[in-house]
Amino acid sequence: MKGPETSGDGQEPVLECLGIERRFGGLVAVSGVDLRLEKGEIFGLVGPNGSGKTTLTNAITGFYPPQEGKILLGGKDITGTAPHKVAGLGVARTFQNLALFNGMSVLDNILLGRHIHMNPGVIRTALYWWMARPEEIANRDVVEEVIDFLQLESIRHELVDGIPIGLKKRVELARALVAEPHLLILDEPMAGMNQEEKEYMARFILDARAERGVSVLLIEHHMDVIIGICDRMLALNYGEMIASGIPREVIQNPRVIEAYIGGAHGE
Amino acid sequence: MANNPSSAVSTAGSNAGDDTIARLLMRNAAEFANDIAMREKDRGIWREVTWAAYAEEVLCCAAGFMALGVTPGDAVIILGDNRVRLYTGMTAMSMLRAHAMPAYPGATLDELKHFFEEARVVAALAEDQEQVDKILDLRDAGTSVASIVYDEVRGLNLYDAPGLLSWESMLEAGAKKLAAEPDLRRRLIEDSKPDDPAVFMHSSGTTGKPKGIVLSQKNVLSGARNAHAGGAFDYGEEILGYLPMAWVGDFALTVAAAIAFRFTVNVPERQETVQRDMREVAPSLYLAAPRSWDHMLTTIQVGMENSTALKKWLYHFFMDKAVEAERRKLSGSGKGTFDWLGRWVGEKIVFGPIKDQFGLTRLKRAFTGGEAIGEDTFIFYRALGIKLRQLYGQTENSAFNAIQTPGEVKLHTVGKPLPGVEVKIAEDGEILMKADSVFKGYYKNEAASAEALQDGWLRSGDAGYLEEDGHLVVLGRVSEVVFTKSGERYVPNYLENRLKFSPYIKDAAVIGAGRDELTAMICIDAEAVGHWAEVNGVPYVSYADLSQRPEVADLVRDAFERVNKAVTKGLQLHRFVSLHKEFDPDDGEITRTRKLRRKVVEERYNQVIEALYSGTSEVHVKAVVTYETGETGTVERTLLIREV
Repeated sequence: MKGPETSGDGQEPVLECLGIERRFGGLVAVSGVDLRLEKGEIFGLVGPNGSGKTTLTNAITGFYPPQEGKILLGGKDITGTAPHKVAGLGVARTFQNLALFNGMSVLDNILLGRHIHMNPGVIRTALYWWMARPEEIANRDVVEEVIDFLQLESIRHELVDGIPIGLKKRVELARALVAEPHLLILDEPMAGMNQEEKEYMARFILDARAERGVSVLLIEHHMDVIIGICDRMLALNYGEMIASGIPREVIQNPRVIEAYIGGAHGE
Repeated sequence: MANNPSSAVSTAGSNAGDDTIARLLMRNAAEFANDIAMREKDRGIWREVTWAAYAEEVLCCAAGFMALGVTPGDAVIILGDNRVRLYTGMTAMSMLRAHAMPAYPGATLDELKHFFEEARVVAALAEDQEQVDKILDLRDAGTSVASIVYDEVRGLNLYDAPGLLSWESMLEAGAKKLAAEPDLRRRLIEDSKPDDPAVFMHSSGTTGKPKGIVLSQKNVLSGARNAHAGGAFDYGEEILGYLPMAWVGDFALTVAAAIAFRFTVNVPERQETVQRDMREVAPSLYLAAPRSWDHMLTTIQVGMENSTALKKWLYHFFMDKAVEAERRKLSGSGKGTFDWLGRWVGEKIVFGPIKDQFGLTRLKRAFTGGEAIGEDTFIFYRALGIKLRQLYGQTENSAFNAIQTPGEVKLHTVGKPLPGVEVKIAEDGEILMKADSVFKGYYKNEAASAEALQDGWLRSGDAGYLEEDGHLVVLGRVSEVVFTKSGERYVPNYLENRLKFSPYIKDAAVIGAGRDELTAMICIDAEAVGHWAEVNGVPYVSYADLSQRPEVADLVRDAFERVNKAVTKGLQLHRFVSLHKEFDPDDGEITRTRKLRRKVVEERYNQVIEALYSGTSEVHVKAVVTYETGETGTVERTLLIREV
C-alpha cells in the first residue's frame, strides 16, 4: 500500500480549504475549518450528527458556497463555482442518502456519471451512426471497466430499485468513478452496511486509490473504517474543528472522545 | 434386484488413431481458420477467438511455459473459474506432454497440498489474486512451485513474489521463444503422442483422499468419439463452458470434444452471470447436474406464481396438459392426447417464451449426469419440448459410458452403453467396462490401480444390471451396498436420491446398516422452503429455525411417503430428522461435487443417529461450524424427531 505523501514537498495539495464558514440564517453550520488533502491521500472526516460534515462537502462541491473562506482545488480557487463546473474539474462524489435514479438500470445509472465527458448536440445526435455512436461506445467501455473493477457484472441490467443497499452504494461509487475524478468525495459510503459489505467497500476504496490514482475525502461514522484506511483525519463538532492528524492520535484526543461518547456530563 | 449376469454389449468402436489434441487443434486452425473457437464475455461484450487465433495462443502458451521450465512429466496446477486463458493453458500442457492439473476454485489449502505431494508441480496458472494467494501460501508451507502465471492482474500490481508473472508476459516470452527456435513450432505440434497425458484429474474422494487420474489424449479423444457415435453431439455445437474445470465432464466437453468436433465454447463473464449469459448464448448442447435442472424448474415455477392471473392461467392450461401427455407416454399407455394443435399453440404462447427466458430456444441436446434425476423434473422438461437425457459417466472412463437416446427413454435406465464401450456385469452385480477411453491406472498408486483394472476391465464401482433390450440400470455404488439387521440389501444413495427429488430436500443421509429399520437425516433446501414459507405465511428467523417448523416437517414428510410407496416394505423409512444446517464441503460433509461423505456425516451426527433409534422425540446437538475465514464456531440446537 502506498503511504501518504507528506505535505511541503512542493506539490500542490489536491484540495485545500481555508477558514470555511457557512451559515443558514442565524445557524452557523461550519466555521473556521481548514483542511488540506494531499495527492494520493485518503482523508477521513468524522463528527457526530449535525457537526457539519455534509455541509463542508456541499461547500466544496459548490452546492452551498461558503460565506467566508476559500476553497482551492489543485491550487486553483473554486470558491463559489457552480456544482456542474466543479464536477468538470475532476471532483466526483457519492451521497449519504443515495441519489440513484430509480426506474433505470444499474448500467444506465453508471453511464450517467460519464455526462461530463460527453458532448451531445442536435447535429451529433441526428448523425447518430457517425458521431454519437462511437462516443457512446467509448463511454460504455469506460463504464464496463469500472463495472469489472467493482464486480457489478451480475446486476448490470437490474433496475436499481430492486438491489440491496450495499450494492446501491457500490453503484454510486461506480457512477462517481466513471467520471475519472482526481478527487473522490464519499459521503458515508458504508452507512447501513453489515461487516462484510463494509470490508468490501473499504477494499474498493483502497484499490481505487492504488489502481486509479484518486485522492479520497471520506466522510464516515464507523471509526474502525477510518482507522483502517485513512492516512489522516479531521474531527468536527458543532461545525468546528476539534482535532486533526493521524487517526490513531486523533481518537485519543479527549475532545473527540467527549464528542463521541459524551463523557463530560455533570463534571 | 434383477441381475443379468455377464451379458456383454459391444459395438465396433471408432478408433482415435494417431490423433492428438495438438494435431486436431492445428487441423481446425488450418481448415476452419475463421470459425469461432471461443467466446468470452469481457466488459459486457462477447469477444470472439477464431480457431487460427486460438491455436496460435495455445502454441505461444506452450512455448511460454516451456520457457518457464516445464518439461514432460511435470504438473501445472490450473486454479480458477472457467476462463479462456485457463482452457488455453490446459490445452497447451498436452503439447508439452505435461500434466494439466485443474483444481476446484473453492479448494482449501489442505486439499491443494495433496496435489503437491502427488506429482511434481512446477508451475501454476491462476485466475486471480485470490488463487495466487493460495499458491503463495502453499509455497510458504514448503511446496516447490517455481512459477505462478496469473490471468487477472487486479490487486497483484504491488506483489513482489519471485516467479510471479502475468499471462501477457508469459505469452510474450513464448512468442519470442517460438521466433528464436524455428523448429519449436513443429515439435510442439508433433511431439506429443496419443498415449501422452491430456489431463490430470482427481477422483471425488467420497472415501479418503482423492486419487490421481491421468487421462491420455487417446482416452479423452476416444471418449468424445464414442459419445459422438452414440448420438450425444454433432460437429459445431454451441456450448457453455461453465462447469467446474476440475470436473471431468467439463474437460470432456469443453476441451476434448470441443477440439475434436469444433464446438464453439462460450465462457460466461462470472459464475454469478451464468444464467443471463446462457440466455444470450442459447447453447445447442447443455450438460447440467440434476440439481441445476431442478433449480431452473423451481425458478420457472416461482416466476409463474408471481405472474399475472392471465399468464398463470395460460401456463397451467398448457403446461398441465403437456405434463399429463408426457406422463402417459412414459408409462407406455399410448400416445399422449395433447394433440399437435395444443402443442403448436402452447409452443407459441407458453413454452417458447419460457425457453427464451432461460436460453433454451436452440437447445437440441440436453443432458443431465452425475446422479439420477427426479421424475417430475424430467417430465417437466419433456413437456416443455426439451428432450432431456441422462448421461452416465465417470472420470476413469473419460466421462462417457452410456447415454439415453432422445426417442426411447426409460426413466430408470441410463440408456445403452456407447458404441466403443463394452459393458458386462460381474458376479457381484458390479458394472464392468472396457474401452479405449478407460484410463491406465491411478497415478503412482499400484494397489488402487490393480483393484480398479482387472484383465483390461474397469471396475466402475457401481452396482447395476443390463435389461433385455440392452439398457443399463445403475443402482448406486457397490461399496455402498449395505444390509439391514434382517439382511435386506439396499443402496442408501438410491433412496437418498429419491428423497432429493423433492424440491424441499437438498441433501439426505439414509441410515440403517445393521439396524432394524431405516431412518434418515435431511437438510431442507433453504431457497425452496424459504419461498414456500413466505407464500404460506410461516414465520422463521433462520435456517435452523425453519428446519424445525412443524409445517416444514409436513412438507418433508410428503416426500418420505412418496418414497415409501415406491420401495419394498423392508426398505421403508420410518423416522427422520431435519438438520439445523446444510451439508457443506468446507465441513467435509460432502465433496465439492456435492456427494455425501457418509463416514464423516455418520460420525459427526452420531448423537442424532442414536436418537433416531432410541425412541426419544428430540435430541440436543452442538455442532462445530467452519466459516469461510477458517475460524470455527459452535451452534447449539434441539432437533425434533419426526415419524413418517
